[in-house]
Amino acid sequence: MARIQLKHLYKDYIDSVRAVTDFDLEIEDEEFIVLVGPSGCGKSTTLRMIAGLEDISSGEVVIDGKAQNNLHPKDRDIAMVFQNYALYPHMSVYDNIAFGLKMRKTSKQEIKERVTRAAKILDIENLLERKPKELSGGQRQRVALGRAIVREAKVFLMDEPLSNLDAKLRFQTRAEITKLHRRLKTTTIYVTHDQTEAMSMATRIVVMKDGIIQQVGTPKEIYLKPANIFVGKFIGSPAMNFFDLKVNDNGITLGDSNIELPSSFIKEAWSSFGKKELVVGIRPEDIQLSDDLESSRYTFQLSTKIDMAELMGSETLLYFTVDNQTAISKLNTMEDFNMGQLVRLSIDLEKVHFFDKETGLRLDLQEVQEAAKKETIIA
Amino acid sequence: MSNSMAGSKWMRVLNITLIVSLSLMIILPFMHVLAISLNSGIDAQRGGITFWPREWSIENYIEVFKQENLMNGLFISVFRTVVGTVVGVGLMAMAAYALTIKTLPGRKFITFFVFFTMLFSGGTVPYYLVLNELNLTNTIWVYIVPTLYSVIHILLLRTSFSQLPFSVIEAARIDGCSEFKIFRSIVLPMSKPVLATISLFTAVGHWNDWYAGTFFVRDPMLKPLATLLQEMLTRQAALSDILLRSSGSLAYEQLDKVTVTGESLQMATIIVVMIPMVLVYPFIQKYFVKGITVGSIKE
Repeated sequence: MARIQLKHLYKDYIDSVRAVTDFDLEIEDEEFIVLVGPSGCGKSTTLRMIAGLEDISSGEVVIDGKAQNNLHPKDRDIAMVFQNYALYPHMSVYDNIAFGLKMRKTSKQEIKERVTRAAKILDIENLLERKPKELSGGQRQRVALGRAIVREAKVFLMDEPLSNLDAKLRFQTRAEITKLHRRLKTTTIYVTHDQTEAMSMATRIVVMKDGIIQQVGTPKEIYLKPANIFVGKFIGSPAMNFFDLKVNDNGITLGDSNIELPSSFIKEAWSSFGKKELVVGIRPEDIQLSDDLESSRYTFQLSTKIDMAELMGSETLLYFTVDNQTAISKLNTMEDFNMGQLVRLSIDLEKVHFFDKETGLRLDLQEVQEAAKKETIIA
Repeated sequence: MSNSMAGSKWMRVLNITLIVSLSLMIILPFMHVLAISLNSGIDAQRGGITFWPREWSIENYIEVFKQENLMNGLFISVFRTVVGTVVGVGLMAMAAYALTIKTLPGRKFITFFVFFTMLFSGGTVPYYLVLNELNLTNTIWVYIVPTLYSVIHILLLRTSFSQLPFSVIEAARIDGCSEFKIFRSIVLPMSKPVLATISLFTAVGHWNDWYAGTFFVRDPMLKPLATLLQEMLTRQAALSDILLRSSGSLAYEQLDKVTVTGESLQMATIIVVMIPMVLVYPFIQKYFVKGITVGSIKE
């Protein structure tokens, strides 16, 4: 169990490429932190700096008050699970799991007890004599997890451990890792590019882009209040819809539609933002058929033709075009829709996210929305 | 569907034909050598022996084993082959592994320095002077020390090591291994195929080398098998030559006594020198078949 402080970490490579910029984060004991972002965003580099597999260009890694920068990976009391399992191919499963303990001169009896215990937790007791080549992908990943948990290290580092598994196995193993964390309560830092993994596993998510932290927060905070356009776009599936919005004297212009807004809203908007051009972000589930939305909610409405409809099981995705951009609505229905069918869609203003067009940063609209609630808005 | 099946059938026929042809190209000369070595030397001179002896005889082999110091030569050969291969491959593997470590200071320069020596050779006389200066001439170490280093083998090993999954090495580092332990317990076991190949090349090189024994060693007790047999061949060839060029009864008397000839002795020598290597081959062949890293990582 450990508290980790990552103080202003930077990683520069020789060819003057900066992989990580000012990564500053405090991780509490027993937390499950997920670093998420697209490929090349610096999340794995950050993890490897914590592990000691990459030099830190500047900044400090502190675990339980002890600076780690100059410690060898083996002296950091961390265990790591790699994306490609990284099992020792010439050793049996037992030896793979026991290897770290052998290197630490643990007694044979204790090694046996700990390996057996880990194997039991991971349900691989019957595989201990096999070689990695005789195992399936899921079994290999369990052995890799076993190798980490048997060490009883202070910190678990996991570098995309599920990305080589097929969808079904990924779903199962995801749940197993979450259960494992609840059981062992080891502070865990988990790297993934899959926002679903991040949302479902993390106690806190760190969203990264181009080596810079974009937002840190609980899954709910990240989803409900994305700090910028990138976070809004990256977290959530299907991705958030974004439209350019122009504020004029009478209301707002969204694509070809001029939406008249009450003067109080415009006034507040103008004074809050001080800008005439905004980006509006709307999650697909916040665009509903007009009939389905309660009439008392504060909405604006769009009439549009359906480009495509996808039945996803209990939900349907409607694709339509606004301002030459494809938008998606996620409806909780199995109703049939035809291409070209005219529908009237409503958008709940309370759930709309506004962003600065220049900086991409979130604009806090709480006050504006409060004002908007005072009047019903009809397009 | 039927087209692809027919295509695959033809490919199979082509493959088998090719493999059989290649095998015959190796087996037939071997059988020819073996047949002549087991045939009476004088009879073999008539020609016409291809793959089966006409007049069976083991006198060629008796003549080979009559060679003075043969058992001593065999010991020298085995010693230099075993020690030279084990120590040489071990050191070359260490050098090659060090060259794969990206944080090694001056890695590019060292690699170039190693590679550069492959392009030039000092020639026999400077080479001899260096060996002499190092007090290696006329010692058994002249067979081993200069051969501990082979640029091409180091480069082959380096390429092979650099293709190992680096995450496995990092996992070992986190598990608590020292660099040497990583090399010994992770890198070497994962590189068995390339180590087997390099070991075979090195061992064959040691076994077949008659050159060092001829030029850098005077003591007959230090001559390896290959040198002794090469010297015997030279002597036999010279003797036959003298006898055949001579005229008179003495020559014919001598010729009557000779049952082996230069050619038959040569063939028996080839077989004697070759057999130990042929016997070793099946034991290391399994490492050539399949890479050892299967299952380690997700490719």
